[in-house]
Amino acid sequence: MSKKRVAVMFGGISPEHEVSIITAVQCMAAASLNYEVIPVYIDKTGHWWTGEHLLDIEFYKIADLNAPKHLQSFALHLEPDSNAIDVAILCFHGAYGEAGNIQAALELAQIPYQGPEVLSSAICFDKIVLRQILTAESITQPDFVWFTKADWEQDADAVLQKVKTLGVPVFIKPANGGSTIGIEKVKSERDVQAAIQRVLQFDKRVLVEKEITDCIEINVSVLGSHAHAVASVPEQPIKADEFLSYADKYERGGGKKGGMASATRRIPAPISKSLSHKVQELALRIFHLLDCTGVIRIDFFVNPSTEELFLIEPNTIPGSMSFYLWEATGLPYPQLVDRLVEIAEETASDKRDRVVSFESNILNLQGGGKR
Amino acid sequence: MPTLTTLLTIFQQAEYDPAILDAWVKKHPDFSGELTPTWTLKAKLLKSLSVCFPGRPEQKLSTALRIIQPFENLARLYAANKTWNQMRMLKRSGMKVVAIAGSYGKTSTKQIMQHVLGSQLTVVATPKSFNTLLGIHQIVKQITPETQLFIVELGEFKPGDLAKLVKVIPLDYLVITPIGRQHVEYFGSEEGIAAEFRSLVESSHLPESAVLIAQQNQAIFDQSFTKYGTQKPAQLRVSSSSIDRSGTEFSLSVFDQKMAGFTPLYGEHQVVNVLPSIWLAHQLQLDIQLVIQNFASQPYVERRHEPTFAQNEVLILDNSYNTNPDSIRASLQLLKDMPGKKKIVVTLGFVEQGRDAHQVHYELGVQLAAVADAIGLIKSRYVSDIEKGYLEHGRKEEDMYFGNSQQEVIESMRSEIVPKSVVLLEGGVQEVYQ
Repeated sequence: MSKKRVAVMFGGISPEHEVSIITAVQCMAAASLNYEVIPVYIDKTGHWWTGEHLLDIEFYKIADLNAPKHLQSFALHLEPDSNAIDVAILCFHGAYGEAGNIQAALELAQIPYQGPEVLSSAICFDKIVLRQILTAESITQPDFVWFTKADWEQDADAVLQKVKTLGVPVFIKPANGGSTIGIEKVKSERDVQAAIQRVLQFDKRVLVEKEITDCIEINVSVLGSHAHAVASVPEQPIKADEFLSYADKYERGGGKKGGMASATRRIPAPISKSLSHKVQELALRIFHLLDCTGVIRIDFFVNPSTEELFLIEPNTIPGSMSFYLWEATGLPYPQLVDRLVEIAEETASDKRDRVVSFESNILNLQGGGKR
Repeated sequence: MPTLTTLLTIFQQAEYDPAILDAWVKKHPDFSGELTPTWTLKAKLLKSLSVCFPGRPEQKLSTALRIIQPFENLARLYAANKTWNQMRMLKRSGMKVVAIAGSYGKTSTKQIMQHVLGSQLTVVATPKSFNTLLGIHQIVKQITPETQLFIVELGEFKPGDLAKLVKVIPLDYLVITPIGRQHVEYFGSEEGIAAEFRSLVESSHLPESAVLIAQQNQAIFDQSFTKYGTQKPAQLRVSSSSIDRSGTEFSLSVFDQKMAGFTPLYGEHQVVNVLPSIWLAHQLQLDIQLVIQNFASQPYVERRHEPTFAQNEVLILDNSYNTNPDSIRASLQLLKDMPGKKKIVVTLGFVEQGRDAHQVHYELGVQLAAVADAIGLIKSRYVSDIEKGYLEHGRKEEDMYFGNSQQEVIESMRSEIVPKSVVLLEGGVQEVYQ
């Protein structure tokens, strides 16, 4: 029996382009054991490519990521059954491939992918909509306010007044954006105005959140379909700075102790088993509330003493697909890929089984196309 | 030969006792490490003055000390008087004072107490290295009337020191952590150490109910104080504990009541260190459950099995502050219990162990052989004793590594430190007299 053709799609016009490459190369290595891997790379200018070179991380170190050479152009056909792909695994980070656009294209082309699907991806990517929905579902989150660029331009004082209700410190964030790019931490009220102006350069909608204190950050991955999902062991990311800046998150070389580089995470996290269980339960609830599928990572602030949990954000396509959390949970990366393929096929099959059209005689009732 | 700055460090840590400094120089004629003192006014004065006198470095320091001693005595008197007055005023406004004395676990017990009681009381604790009268005076003068609990860590250096301290700082409660051989060189014998603590209890004039002792201290005292530890008849005890890399899950028996909790700190011995806080909460009628909950967010105590998480899931446990024949048992038990692919210990042995040093280090080698797959030994006088004990108990020469510093030893052990290893850094050259 021939191997299934799995397209690993990555890159795109995103500040997290390079991180997406790393996630994809790791994923392709794990997938190549059981599948025929088709790399689909979208360069920094938005052109689509495929080719053997894309399997090798060394290629990207020397390639021009705006106009790579030695690759074949790749076209996605929206007409069903016209793509030689059985399943797609999306490894994008950032708005381009994580916010629902690529997912929509795959839906039209009827190519199964791991998810989350269009609506879920879009909701999870918009920090304001996400907060509003989860507030309605009584999920504890940091206190927040939001406004638009138009609000700011029309009445900056009213916006500042609204922000002031949160006190300081606050985090001022662009509504869209997958990493910490553009996020400002403001400790003094007099710095709020300047920070808002900087954040408005990244997005026309801005979220302001109150800082949560006495908490540690705990992340959990959830893997599953609409029908069934499981949560990984929790991790604590180890950060050097007050909050995870872009450099900390992706470029940090690690501190030294006894000449050894520091780990960037603690697995398992330094919390009790009962609290771990509580975090996992909440992660699963959020996964289902947001109608997710695939493998996602949900980040929380956790107070180990009071056991209060605050949602920071879900990441619908997490860095490295959170494979390290699954390895620690007993699922090696190749099996994680197997599961993602199953989830993609299961979701697509569910869709096929749904009633999406029915016979209608409405056209026959029309009188010659004229009213 | 030790440098003037190194000797000044030892001098400072020995509470400026010339006899102790002389004894140290005789024991460590070839000491090549470089120690740095806390640069207090006194340390700076001693260093500046000592260069004006002839003789060996330790003689220069002693002469300089003689010059500044009369002034210092005056300063001490002043500090004692001011501290006593300030304490009276603070106690009138309701502040309680708990002292923590003992040979081992004082700093951990103090830091834990400050954290776990901090949500119910306004707490001030003496910081590191502030456990002498002049040091404590510096802290007392900063305490505001809102303070509800003052935690004083009592350092014992010379016979009579503790009794003197509690005369100036009237106590409400006293905790005595395990008493062992530490500082045996100042007290002549273990009995000398025991006598020091008996005299502390006597001078504190506290009722029996206001004193808590570690259960292993029972033989030292005639009174039947409340005890804490791991076994009956201790009224506060850790009944079970289990560790993994997340921390320690435990259950306690507190005056026959069962309780359970979690702490990110590693090991049963660290859980034992929360029991004095629970006892004090009980005495002060605070919420004990809240105390246990707060232990779940306890910050690590510096260099007391303080973890560093290295790449490839290598866990480094830094216990370089505190090692001695009594405390090493807890360390090695922790190493044994902690899940890990390979168990590695880097040590230079114990710093001061009097006449039995060779035997004590041989036994350390034996203990290491039972737990450690590989050991790294920092060069010291007793390396060959550790080596002998390790090799005679089933270990091979290729499991041993040597170097002049911790860094050098770790570098030489790179091939041993496989993914998921646990590396225990046990004992160090700093704080020789702490």
